[in-house]
Amino acid sequence: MNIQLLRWIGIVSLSLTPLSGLWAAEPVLVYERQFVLMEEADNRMWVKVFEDGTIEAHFPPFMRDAGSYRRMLSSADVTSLTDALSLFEFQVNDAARAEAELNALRAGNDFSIEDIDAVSIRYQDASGQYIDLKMPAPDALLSLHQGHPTVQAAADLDALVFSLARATSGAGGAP
Amino acid sequence: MKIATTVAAIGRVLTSVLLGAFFVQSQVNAGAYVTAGAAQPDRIVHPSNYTGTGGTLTVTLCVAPGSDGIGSLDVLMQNIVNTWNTLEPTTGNVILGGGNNIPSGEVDVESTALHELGHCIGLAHPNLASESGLGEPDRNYTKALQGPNNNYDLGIGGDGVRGSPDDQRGDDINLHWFSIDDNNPFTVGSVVTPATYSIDLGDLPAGDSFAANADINVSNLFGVPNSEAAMQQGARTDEDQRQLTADDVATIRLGIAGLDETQGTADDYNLNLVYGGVANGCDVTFQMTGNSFAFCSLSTAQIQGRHYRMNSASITLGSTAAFNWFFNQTPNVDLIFEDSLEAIPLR
Repeated sequence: MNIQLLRWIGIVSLSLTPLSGLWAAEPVLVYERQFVLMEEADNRMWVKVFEDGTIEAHFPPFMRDAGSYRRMLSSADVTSLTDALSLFEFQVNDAARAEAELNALRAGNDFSIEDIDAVSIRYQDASGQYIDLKMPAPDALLSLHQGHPTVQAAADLDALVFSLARATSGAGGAP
Repeated sequence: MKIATTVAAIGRVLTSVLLGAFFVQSQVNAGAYVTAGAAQPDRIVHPSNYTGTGGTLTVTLCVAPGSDGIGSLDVLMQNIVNTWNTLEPTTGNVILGGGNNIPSGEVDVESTALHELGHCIGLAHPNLASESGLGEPDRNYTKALQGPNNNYDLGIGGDGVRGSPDDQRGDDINLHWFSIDDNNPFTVGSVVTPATYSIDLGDLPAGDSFAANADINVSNLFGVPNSEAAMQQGARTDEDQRQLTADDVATIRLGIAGLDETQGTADDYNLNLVYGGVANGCDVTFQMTGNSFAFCSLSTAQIQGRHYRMNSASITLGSTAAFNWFFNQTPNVDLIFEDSLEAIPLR
């Protein structure tokens, strides 16, 4: 995610809120969670954040918030998202320490998380290039690696995106 | 800060840390038993507390204090405990729509918890499932490793059914224990040991090319429609899958033969799952919270040789605020032999 761009979004989103019918075609952030245990044709929840501050969210039929929604992000939302991304970035940059800690945690045991959801995040960087990341659901990873800073940062970011999506369904706007 | 460089670094490091340290580990360790994989494809995993001493093996299951659904979980928790303790193989165990008591659009907690408890006592998916990285419908092929060519070979065979005995799997390394006698995952023999079940494709019956799994489409080939292993990954709304098939039972019974891998000897155990209500400190903890749909988080530890036991196990289903869960309140003590659920005679 382009953090500077998100800060900019935070500023302009307030002024654009009344114009919520206008948004750019290409999102700057796409988050998707596939609920892998579910064999339904629609088993994905997704969130898209656009350059103009619009957020769209979709929930599959077996979720409480089933449906597709949109709203404008508030400046507080953007600040929270920017902070979570910054902390996440700080943690994952210390990869060597993270790997060493995880290897120590695994010593003498074999670990597994069966049926873990699959999460993907698509960022647009400053040059306009998209970066695609895939990871197992970090909230589930916490069950084996409680308190690990990298996993915790990823889980915090994941939880925030989820909460923004649910707030979007609460806003009731349908694309 | 150069944003493009930073974002690229996040991608590189995240891939290394999260995919390398967690996800790839999970892929390698998939199998008919959890944590079986390339290093030990024939690993057998026993429930918690088994040390090689026979007799009653008690494994406790509790609901974590603070979980969603407390007050609605007792019946279905006792049901899944009964189901795994009874080890009754059934057919026709997939009951959809008007045949069950689940409202349209809701997901059955009992069916989901039965599946996750199977993982938490040592069983993996019989099918390739999501950990393979494949999409539907290829996830329904039988559990295997990729083999020397580092790809899954997914030849469907003449019957057009994934996971069936005529699949053409190239150099894939089978992880699914099959009956040497007939490679039929919908029946179970009177003796279930590594002498009668195998993962070695050289032990397949004449004419078969790969181990069959108890997928619902495979059940049609074997003349037992609407049957699917409880451990098969894949659930739907308005689906009741609260009973076991022969494949689920056989995999547990293979472990019950104990460390000497011989049925009827002193190290055999009787699995005795006990539901302890809302409490801490049980062998398997169940909770409903958060945004993940359902998972079993576990670790295993070696007993000896290829025999492992569960070292830690916890089940998490998503919160009631996030998902449309259905809480069955009908005890299953009288259901096992009723209606469409038919007990399978031993061969």
